[in-house]
Amino acid sequence: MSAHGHTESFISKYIFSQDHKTIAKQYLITGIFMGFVGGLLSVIFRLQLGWDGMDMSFLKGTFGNYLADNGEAFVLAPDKYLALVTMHGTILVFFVLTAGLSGTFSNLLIPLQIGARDMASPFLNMLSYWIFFLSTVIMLASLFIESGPASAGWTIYPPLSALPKALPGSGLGMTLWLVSMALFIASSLMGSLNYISTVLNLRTKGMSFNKLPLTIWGFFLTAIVGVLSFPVLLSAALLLIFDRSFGTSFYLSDIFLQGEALTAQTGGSPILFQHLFWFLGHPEVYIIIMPAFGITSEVISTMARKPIFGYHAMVISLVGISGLSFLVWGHHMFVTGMNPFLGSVFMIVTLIIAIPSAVKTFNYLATLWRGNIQFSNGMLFAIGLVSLFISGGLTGLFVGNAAIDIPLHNTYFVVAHFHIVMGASAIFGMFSGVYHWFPKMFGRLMDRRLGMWHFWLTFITVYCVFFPQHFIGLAGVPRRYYAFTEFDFAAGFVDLNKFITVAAIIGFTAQFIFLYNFVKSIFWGEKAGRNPWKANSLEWTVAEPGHGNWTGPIPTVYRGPHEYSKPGVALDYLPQHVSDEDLAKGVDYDNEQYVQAKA
Amino acid sequence: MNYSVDSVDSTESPGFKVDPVKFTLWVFLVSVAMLFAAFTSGYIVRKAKGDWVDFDLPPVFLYSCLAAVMASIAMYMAQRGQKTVKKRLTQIGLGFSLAFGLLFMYLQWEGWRQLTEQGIYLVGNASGSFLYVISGVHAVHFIVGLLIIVIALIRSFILDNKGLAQQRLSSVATYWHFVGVLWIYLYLFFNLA
Repeated sequence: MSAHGHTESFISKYIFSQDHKTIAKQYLITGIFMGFVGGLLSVIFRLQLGWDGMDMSFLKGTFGNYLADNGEAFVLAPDKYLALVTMHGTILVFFVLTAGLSGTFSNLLIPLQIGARDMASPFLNMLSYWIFFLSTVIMLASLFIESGPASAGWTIYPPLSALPKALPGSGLGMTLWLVSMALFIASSLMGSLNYISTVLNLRTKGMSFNKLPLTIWGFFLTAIVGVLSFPVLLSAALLLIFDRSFGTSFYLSDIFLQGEALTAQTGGSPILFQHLFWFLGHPEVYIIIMPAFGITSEVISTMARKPIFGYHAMVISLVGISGLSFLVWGHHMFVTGMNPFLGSVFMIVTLIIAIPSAVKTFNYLATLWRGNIQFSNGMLFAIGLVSLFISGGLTGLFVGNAAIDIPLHNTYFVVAHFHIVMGASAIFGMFSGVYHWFPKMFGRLMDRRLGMWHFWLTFITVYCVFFPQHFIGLAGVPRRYYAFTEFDFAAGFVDLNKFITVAAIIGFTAQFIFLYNFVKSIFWGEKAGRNPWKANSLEWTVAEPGHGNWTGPIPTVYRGPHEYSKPGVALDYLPQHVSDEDLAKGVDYDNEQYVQAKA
Repeated sequence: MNYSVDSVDSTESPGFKVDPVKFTLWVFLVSVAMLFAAFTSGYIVRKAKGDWVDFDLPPVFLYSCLAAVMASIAMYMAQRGQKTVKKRLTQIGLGFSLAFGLLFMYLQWEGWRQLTEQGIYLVGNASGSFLYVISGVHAVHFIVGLLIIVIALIRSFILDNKGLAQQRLSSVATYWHFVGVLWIYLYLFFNLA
């Protein structure tokens, strides 16, 4: 029996659980696992970039088919280099930063912060996770097939993805990629439907939209963007499947190799795929970053002990970013022969996104300004996100401009830009959330000293890995090249590549500090208590939540989530469930009995 | 009172103005609409590129529009039966919805057959490929609707009036009307785009 009157078996409590908090943990653990897999793949291809022709015999046991014997050593095969890059991108973008981030924190926080006992459909929620899990298994399985996994890049542009014989990875590996992603999209849609329905329908009394924590705004808008954009990726994938398997010509046209036609398919347009892909692909950037924005907003306000600067401006910015995200996909396609006028339209709309993005950044800084900052691990990662988002956002102004993007297109400059602004920023948001809400997930605190080591090593190595890549890109070195030593114009960067690779290995190794801290703290971490950060939102009114969250009635909400250091109030926080009457009576809302009476 | 996850009700959540299942269905339909918006946008982009064979749609696809309309009207009858607690009317409405739905699928099949007689195949010019893929994906959604109606019809015979009144027939109807209207949109699109 659970504390809430349900009879639960091990299977129903921990495996096929319908409790949103358990599902959140399932997403988190799967996301962390996939993060390590994706990171490991990047270390392998970084070794190749740093030391071209390096003997990688150590991969023989696991990835023997990824190696080629050049007579002197077992080196990473060039086509498998592309496979590793593809799988690294796919895993990090979709399985870690979409499902791992949004799946974890939307599930954990939406019901707890809006005051609901669970999602609108707990069953659909459970189904969403297990379909995601199945897609994860299929994607991982593709790493171990003889011909190797998909190799056409995470964007899977045709013809490499449409012609099964284009590359070894274009065969079964690509088919598994498509099956896995079809399941992933179904899972993502189920999750998003639930999040939207829950936020709109299950808010507790008093929880109006202008009292919603910014985390909820981030998750809610992310879900809307997902519902509108993922079906478009599904349409692109369906047409691709028809081209691959049934011989249609949506994307394929007159492919010749050495005068010989590779396919009878004619008249297709690979550019059509790019349009459909990027209609999801660009909103996907915001699907990844908006939950991280929400997390950062909450953590910065709580740990700076200040109201978030410009709550309504933050909300409007998120709404603006969500809307604009659908109008800018063409900036990924400036070099496809696009009409220059159309390119200008995409460029202008892209640059307009700088306005809400800048509003958010300035508001973060203004919230920190003269705050009583408490450098918890969550806060460090939140500030790290702000730093990375500024660094990566500024280069967005370059690549959003058609005149500059055309020479920089497909170079390492773009790699540096999106890894900093989207990849590393969102990862920092995720770490911030894990450290901050770990007490609500496991009832314990993570080790602060280990968290400090984790933060500083990660922060420094992220900049060491990606900042130099701007210069490599400015020199015109294209991304996805197997070996810099093969080309005179790139050979000068071999030493810099070694530096980047060493930094990447140190950064990857630092994640084991996190892993150790995470596992250790689940069992032996310091007991956290109900509200260790003295935070305002409703999740901190729950002590040890069972399925249903509150053992008593759900608290009523009387105020916004960011009333920290309010003048005239003795304590530096004022939770959402404390009414003005109680405040006037001078009740001690820090007292455990008061919280228990309210929840 | 013993509070648990099962005690979610409107008194705890004043924002609970729409049945969450029905609301979730609406959001799902938005995502389905986006899927078809993407297909039809792709159709326009691909057609603009050239190398496009124009052909007339077999008239039978117009008849399938009429079948979809009749299926929706029958579903409306079923809903009226539920609201007025006339079980027989509900069963007749669902029965006719199913019959017109099956007729719709037959007409689609006949339309595809006539297309092949015109030399329009799935593999060939993209104009035909798009037609088969889009109408085929629509048919998958339509078949899901048919299965749901079969379940609703079986339940209408098993349940008493009280049980029948608790069925989410309005959600079934929403989906059914949607897939019908979607086909009419696609028919107009194929003729006008």
